[in-house]
Amino acid sequence: MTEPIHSEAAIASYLLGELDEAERAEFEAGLAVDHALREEVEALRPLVARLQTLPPEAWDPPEPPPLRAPATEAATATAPPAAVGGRTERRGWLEPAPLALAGGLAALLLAAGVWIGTLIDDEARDGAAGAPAITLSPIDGGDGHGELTILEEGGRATLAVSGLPASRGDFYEVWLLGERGMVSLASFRVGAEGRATIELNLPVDPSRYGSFDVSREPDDGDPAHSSDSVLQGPVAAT
Amino acid sequence: MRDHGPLVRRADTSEAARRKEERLGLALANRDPRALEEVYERYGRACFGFLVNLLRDREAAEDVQQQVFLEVWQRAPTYERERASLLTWIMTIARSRGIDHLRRRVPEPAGTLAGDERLPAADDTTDELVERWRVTALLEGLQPEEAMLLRMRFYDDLPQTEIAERTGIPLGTVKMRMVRALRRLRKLVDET
Repeated sequence: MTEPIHSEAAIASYLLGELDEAERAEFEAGLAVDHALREEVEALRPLVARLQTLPPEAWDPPEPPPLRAPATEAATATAPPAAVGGRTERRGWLEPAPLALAGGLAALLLAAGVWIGTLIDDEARDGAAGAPAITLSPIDGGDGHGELTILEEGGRATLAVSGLPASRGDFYEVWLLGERGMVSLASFRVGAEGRATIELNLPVDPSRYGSFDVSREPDDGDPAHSSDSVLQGPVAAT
Repeated sequence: MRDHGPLVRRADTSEAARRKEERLGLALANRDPRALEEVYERYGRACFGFLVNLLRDREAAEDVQQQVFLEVWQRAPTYERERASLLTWIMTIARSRGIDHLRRRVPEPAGTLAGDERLPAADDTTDELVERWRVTALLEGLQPEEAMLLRMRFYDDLPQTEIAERTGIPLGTVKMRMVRALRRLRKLVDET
């Protein structure tokens, strides 16, 4: 080794285990008396250890999928159902925005593909006319019926449900289910009439999942599926 | 020796990187879609690498990745720069969504869908993974020659003498640059 044993260059050699026995002993003798040197070595040591254990893929990270970037075009949407907030984390995006921002926010969120189910009017529903509908049937002889239609532009769908028990302290949640797991798509409530029509965004390709599912969810803050499915229909119909 | 391309793209100084990240965070909070694209360009690879590592399922990781960045977009107005860097914030979201994915149960009535209940990864393992991939993202903040040296040493497993031979850089310079690269990366790890 040509550099002075306590030089800056020697720090790397020491940390990388590239000093011979005599050099290492000399360096460590210096560490014992040089507080600043010791401090620096100790600060760098965990980083060196981490770099030494980085898996090969960390040096060549896999190419991520293209981002479904938010579109800048305007979109119209109503505010999300007011009462479905209150659960934790995943549901945070369902909380109503401040009034002054609500209109633009909802538009941006829809444009971004964020999974808000929005109650829609007849005009919006008309946009789905002609597209193949997926029938969601009741589970285990329960009540209700659903028609889900993937809109022509893709990435969005409408769901019309009827005959469901009214929401009372709970709400309904729309999911994609399959062997690869599940994705929450939207939440909504129904009133005494038992019907609702919502528009929802599809952040993933539905064909990679098996079924659309509507579950009844207690407002308990648990983001997991309640295991209380009320309607289900196969994605394959798309 | 492998190609050194992917990790030597950016060469911000620490201060410049900090200011740039501040501006980025602000633009994201102001709902600038270009900011989201830039955030994705900066941190999308590390986030995705983490998710692939955690879930061991590339397709699932692709879905969760979309969920993570949609959540980043939606929650951007509430992001507090003082509390965490963008990278740390994004990786925290990725960690949560990744664990959500591992924990999810297929509901009983949907038993025909053949879903299985998998145990979530242990927290310490997940945290270690997060930290690894955070460091991976930060490698891109190094000067190109620094990133190259670290890669040659820790990925190609070359001693400094061989790095000097292969690059034609004097051994003393290699050693100086090596320790400076480590210092800079350490600073990024501490500050980001």
